[in-house]
Amino acid sequence: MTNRHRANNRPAQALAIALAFASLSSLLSCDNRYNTSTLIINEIIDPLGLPSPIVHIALSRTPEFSGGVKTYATSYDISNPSTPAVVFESIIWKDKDEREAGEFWLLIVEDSDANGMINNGDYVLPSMRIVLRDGEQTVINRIIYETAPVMPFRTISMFFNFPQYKIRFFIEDPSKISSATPLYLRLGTTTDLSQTAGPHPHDIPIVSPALSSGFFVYTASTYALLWLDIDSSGTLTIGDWISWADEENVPPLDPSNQWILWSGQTVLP
Amino acid sequence: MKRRHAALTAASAFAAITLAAAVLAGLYSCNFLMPSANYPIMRQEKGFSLLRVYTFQTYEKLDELSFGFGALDGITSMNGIGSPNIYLSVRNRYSKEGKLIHLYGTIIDFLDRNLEAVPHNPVFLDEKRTSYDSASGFITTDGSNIINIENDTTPPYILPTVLDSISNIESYADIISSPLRGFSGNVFPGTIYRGLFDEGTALSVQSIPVLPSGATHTVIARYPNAMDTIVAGFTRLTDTAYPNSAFWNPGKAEIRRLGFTESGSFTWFEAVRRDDIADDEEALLVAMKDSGSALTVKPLAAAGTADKYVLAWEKKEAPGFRLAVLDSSLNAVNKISIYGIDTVYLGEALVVVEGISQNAALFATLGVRASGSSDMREVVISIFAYPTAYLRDGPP
Repeated sequence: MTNRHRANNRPAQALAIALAFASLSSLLSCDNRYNTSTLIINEIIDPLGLPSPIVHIALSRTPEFSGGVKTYATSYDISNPSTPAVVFESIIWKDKDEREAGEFWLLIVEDSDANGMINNGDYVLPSMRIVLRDGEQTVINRIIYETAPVMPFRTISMFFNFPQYKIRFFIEDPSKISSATPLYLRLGTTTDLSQTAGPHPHDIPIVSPALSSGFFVYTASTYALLWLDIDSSGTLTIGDWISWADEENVPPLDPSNQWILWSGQTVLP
Repeated sequence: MKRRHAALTAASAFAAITLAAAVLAGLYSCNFLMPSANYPIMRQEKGFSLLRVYTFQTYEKLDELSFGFGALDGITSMNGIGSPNIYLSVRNRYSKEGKLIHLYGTIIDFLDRNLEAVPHNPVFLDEKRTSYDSASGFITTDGSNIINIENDTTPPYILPTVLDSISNIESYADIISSPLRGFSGNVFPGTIYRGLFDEGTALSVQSIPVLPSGATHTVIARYPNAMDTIVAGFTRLTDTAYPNSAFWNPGKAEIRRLGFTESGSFTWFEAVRRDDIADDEEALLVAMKDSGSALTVKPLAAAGTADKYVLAWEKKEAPGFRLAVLDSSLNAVNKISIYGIDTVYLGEALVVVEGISQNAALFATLGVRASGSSDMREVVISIFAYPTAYLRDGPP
């Protein structure tokens, strides 16, 4: 073969290589994007002390408590101070819906009747929305699971036939959520969810910024309010951020709610 | 020499541009080197009759169109006049729920899932658990109730009506308060509704004559250790493969779709296990004979009831779809194929085919017609009937 022949064949070879490469890249780029991430929960505590229950933990793509097999599930003994951190490594998921690409739900349940399965009457925390990002590690330093015997309760006795509510929210500065300044989900049966009208059935504390975007809850309560305990008082007081401007006239829950929590909307004197 | 050099440079530039174009095409188009799907109305096998064609135009991204659910209106499925009223959803790859459509006469109504009377309160309907209602519309569940869905035509909103609460249906179970795992309605002679109740280790099929329930349901058949038998049929999503998952699966498997045939004397349902993070699902088709003598489990996906058979998808990939016609033991007595970008089984209805009023299995197929260089595309929904008399032995 002469040099001239080789030169003449180069475009054809390049075209063949280009087509082969394009075919390969098109195959690889068709909905085959997989993400990996790691979730760590350093501790789950009951501030009231021992004895505390064993809780079951699962990471799910949907907020409902039952149904489906759970790829990432484990249990955690709150009573045992040497219980290791929960580590869900190599969480792999596929981008299916661009709008909710990294949306997961953290489920925490106490098997109250110790029958080995989730069922009516088991105590739960609300399903907590968590967004994982490809290649990143998400750390939840602490989850509060308090077995309070009187109102306001910190966990919910869940029945599958309770109405279900999804609460999506945006918080101006998630880093303000901490053990000293918890975010609370208040659930009640009246429109007046102020501190003076309480105690209300539930004030559920969240102390991790990673859990600051959404809840899904089965509840008989029909009113709810999010509040950030800015002054660390443990009660809803002047200056605390609230999701509804008038805590004495809160609207009833919708099946799907979208709220904002920010410094411009606080409990007024 | 200069001329030769120039030729080589041009050839290299051509190759570089081709390479860049090919790479871009590969990266940006999943359809690169793929066959174009442009089938407005596909020709079908012998035995199929075209009842109606509906078209609508849209600017939406519909490159990967598919049906969600399909359901028949109860009243018009049995009146034997033309094509019955049809409810279905059409979605693209970005939508979970899709457009909800009501086809009746020659009209297409797009139904709004949001009720204006109740802001921010969309109607939830479980698209995987639809079945006949003996009244207008179809039935499904909102999680807590069995509801009827029909088109409230002015303006075209969904009109949901609660027929009975699941807790009330469970309170009239043969063993009181057994959880209701599956439910289906019927417009043909015989039982109006059937429910599948979880009695702990046993499953029972019970007939429910009317909603709301007011009397104890009648047991059609009871199957000891049914869920254990069914769960043993899963091969990938097993308790062994997911060791910490048993706690979250109190029912051992989700009972998704349920149907029954009075003439075939059996109830069928889909038992499903799903890993939603891995996006993996394993479905089993279960048939329970009314005699209580047998429970059959096979790894098939049900399409729905037709006459005394259940139809199951053997191949569900455009443009050719194949269904097996299964008897009460889930043995295939025949196979039928249907063509389109997508197809959905709507159910059985009394329609006029070849001048004769007869029961037929109804399918909707999907086609798309591009409108020249415009972004506008025309979606074509064709309704085909396949007489149930042909199900066993095919058309004459």
